[in-house]
Amino acid sequence: MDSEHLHRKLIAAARALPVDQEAPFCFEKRIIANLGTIPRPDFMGWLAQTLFKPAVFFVGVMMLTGVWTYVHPAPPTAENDVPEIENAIWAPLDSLGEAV
Amino acid sequence: MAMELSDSDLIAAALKGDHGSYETLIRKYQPRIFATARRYARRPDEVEDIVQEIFTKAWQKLASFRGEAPFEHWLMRLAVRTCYDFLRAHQRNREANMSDIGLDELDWLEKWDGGAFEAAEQSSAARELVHSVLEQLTPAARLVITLLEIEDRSVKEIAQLTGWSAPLVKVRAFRARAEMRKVLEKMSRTK
Repeated sequence: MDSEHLHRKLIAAARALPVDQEAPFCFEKRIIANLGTIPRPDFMGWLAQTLFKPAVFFVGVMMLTGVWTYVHPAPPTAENDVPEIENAIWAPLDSLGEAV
Repeated sequence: MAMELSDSDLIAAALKGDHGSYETLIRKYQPRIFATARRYARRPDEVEDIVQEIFTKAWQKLASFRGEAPFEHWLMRLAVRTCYDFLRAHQRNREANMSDIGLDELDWLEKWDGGAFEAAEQSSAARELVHSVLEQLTPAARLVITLLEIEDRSVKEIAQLTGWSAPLVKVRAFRARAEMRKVLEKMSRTK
């Protein structure tokens, strides 16, 4: 007998089987005996769980970027001349110090 | 005569910590939940454990039930997902059970004319065979075959029950049928 025919017969047999809905005596008592109090929705727990995966992802990105910049440092150019940027940032404070 | 409380009244009382109201809900829905669990587990202790887990989860998540759909639908979704978790947790046993398939039962299936089962032994043989074959399938295949072909549910209903998308249900149904044909071919060859 081919498998397609067997498949159809097996499904027909499964459908023809009587559905057993019987529960053991006083089964609901057993469930109730094992219940605690209803846990209230935990907003902070939900927030921590939601934010955990993106946080792990971004920490990974940060570490990869760190490794990348350490292994391939950018050569100093006129555009990324750090001392000049630092001087520009600190200039107001320097001038304040001179005024005092 | 005492008036029967609605599901929403019982849920509201249960949410206030009234175990008696939840017990009434369990009594009302446990026949359907037992029938569902028996489709995926064979041993009575496994069936009872599944049912207990479903009602315990329902109790723990009762505060998240918003009442937009009937409680029964919400509970059935929980039941189907718990049964699926059970199948996934026990999938290692699948291969071991291949030798359990009774060849006499396969003979019986080939001779069966599709009519009603006349004796308890026939019904028992059919149940054994159906369980033995379905146990060879992957959890997703077994779930989709049970819901789609045995329970005759629509793709949309299955998508709602399982949380899968409708195209995923269709893909899994296609794969499940192929998987089942393979199992039946293997059984026929063994015979």
